[in-house]
Amino acid sequence: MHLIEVKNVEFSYDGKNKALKGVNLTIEKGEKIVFIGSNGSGKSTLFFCFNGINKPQKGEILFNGKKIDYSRKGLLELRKNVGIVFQEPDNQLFCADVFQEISFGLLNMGVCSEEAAEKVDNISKEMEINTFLDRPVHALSGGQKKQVAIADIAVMEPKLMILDEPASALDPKHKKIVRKLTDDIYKRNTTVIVSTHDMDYALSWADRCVVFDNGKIIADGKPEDILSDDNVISQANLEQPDVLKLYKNMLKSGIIKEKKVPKTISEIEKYITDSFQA
Amino acid sequence: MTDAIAYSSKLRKINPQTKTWFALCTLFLCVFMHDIYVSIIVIAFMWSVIFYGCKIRAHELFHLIAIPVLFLIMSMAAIILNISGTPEKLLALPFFGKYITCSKESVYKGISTIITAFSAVSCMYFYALTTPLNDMIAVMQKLKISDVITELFMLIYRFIFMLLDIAEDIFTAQKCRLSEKNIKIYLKSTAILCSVLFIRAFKRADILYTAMESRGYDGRINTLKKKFEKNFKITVFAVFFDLFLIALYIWRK
Repeated sequence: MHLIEVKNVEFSYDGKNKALKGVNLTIEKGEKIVFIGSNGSGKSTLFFCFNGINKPQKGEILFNGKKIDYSRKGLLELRKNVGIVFQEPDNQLFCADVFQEISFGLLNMGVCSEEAAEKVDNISKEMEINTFLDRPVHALSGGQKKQVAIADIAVMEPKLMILDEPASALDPKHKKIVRKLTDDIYKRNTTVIVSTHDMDYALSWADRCVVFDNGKIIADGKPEDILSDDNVISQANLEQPDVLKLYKNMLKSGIIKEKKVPKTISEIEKYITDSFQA
Repeated sequence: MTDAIAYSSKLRKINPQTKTWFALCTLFLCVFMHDIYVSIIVIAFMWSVIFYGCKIRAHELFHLIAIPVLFLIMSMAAIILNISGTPEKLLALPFFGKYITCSKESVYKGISTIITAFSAVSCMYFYALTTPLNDMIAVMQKLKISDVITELFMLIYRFIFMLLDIAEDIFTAQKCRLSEKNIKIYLKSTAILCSVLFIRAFKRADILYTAMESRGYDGRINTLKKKFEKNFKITVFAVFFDLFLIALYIWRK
């Protein structure tokens, strides 16, 4: 059974311009997926279809093999299982302080207050935000806000967690923290989808890469295959990851021999040192 | 600004419920007893607590109390000085055929009123400078004040800073493009600023609603209520302080 099955979905915000033009996609449990594509290509629109905020005008979406039930109760159940971390934390966080913020989703799920308090405590220790738990949200830095935004979705323990451009506008330190948090969440048996414009991150992190262009999915597969495909890259107006550019140039000039496509800088470094030693 | 001071204050950790009741009761005692000695004791106590508990710099203090003190002085002048046909002994200045004048009683009345008023203001400053707003909201929740009010309070507290930030950013952006060149352009860009803020607020509200719905919002903002440590000693001290004020008042009568 697929975790999510999207069948020929079309969606439009204003009834005229289609934001999604017939999308087909299946997502399995335990996948680590990256969504790439230019701004306005339909990634976020599809995310909000997954948790029932956007109701497709055509086609259908199945969660755990069942069609999405758009009744109040059905949606509540769905949103327990599909958590979305917004790109802009200021749009997501609304409570007076961090502690209240994290408890909001939990209490909506119907968790009793003692259990909720314990969970808030655990997650804040785990994500190392317990030092500013009682601080007002407006007094946090951008990176801290992002950590809180991730924590308050993670605390609900959704089956599918979606992070919409989690590392955009962050300093290197917080980028690192956020990426570590993403990995930690994945390790807890959560399926994770990340949308990003960072091609090197897409290549090194994901098991699967889905490319969006103009409301359609134009490629879906292993990131090393897709990101080295020049046709896909140019059609979606993307850029090849630096690692792959380097790898291709080195192959062309004969410095290294053809091997498994490298995913990180350190892998390509190893190839180079190996070829020099040989 | 008061919120930032309160946040770093040494007295922040004290149970905000105790602080709320203490500040309120003392304030009411000051106002209703209207006694100069009680008020002086309260002023001395509150400000020594503020100076001990909060790192407050001279110019911050000036900013904080300038406005209330100005008001108090103006109202004191209005109480003390009278315009009448008969000059009093203490002071009499001729004024268009009448006199601006004041008597001993009116001076005493004026001074006691201003001291009482300042003691009430001190109570409020004590509260504002030792209790961050989110603790106040927590107290409101504990007191079972209607959810609508506490939720509104919470959202306003969160978004007022955001609105100010956005306004400041837009204002800076306008200045960078010479919005202050002349008064006409200045007024026009200020008008644009206002309308843009309004539109942005609507957009934000819309996105926020989506964000809340994504986390299962069902019409009520459910959040955990904070647990506060009970500090018996401080509670007892607060009660004794207020009882002492009442005793002093009765003894003086």
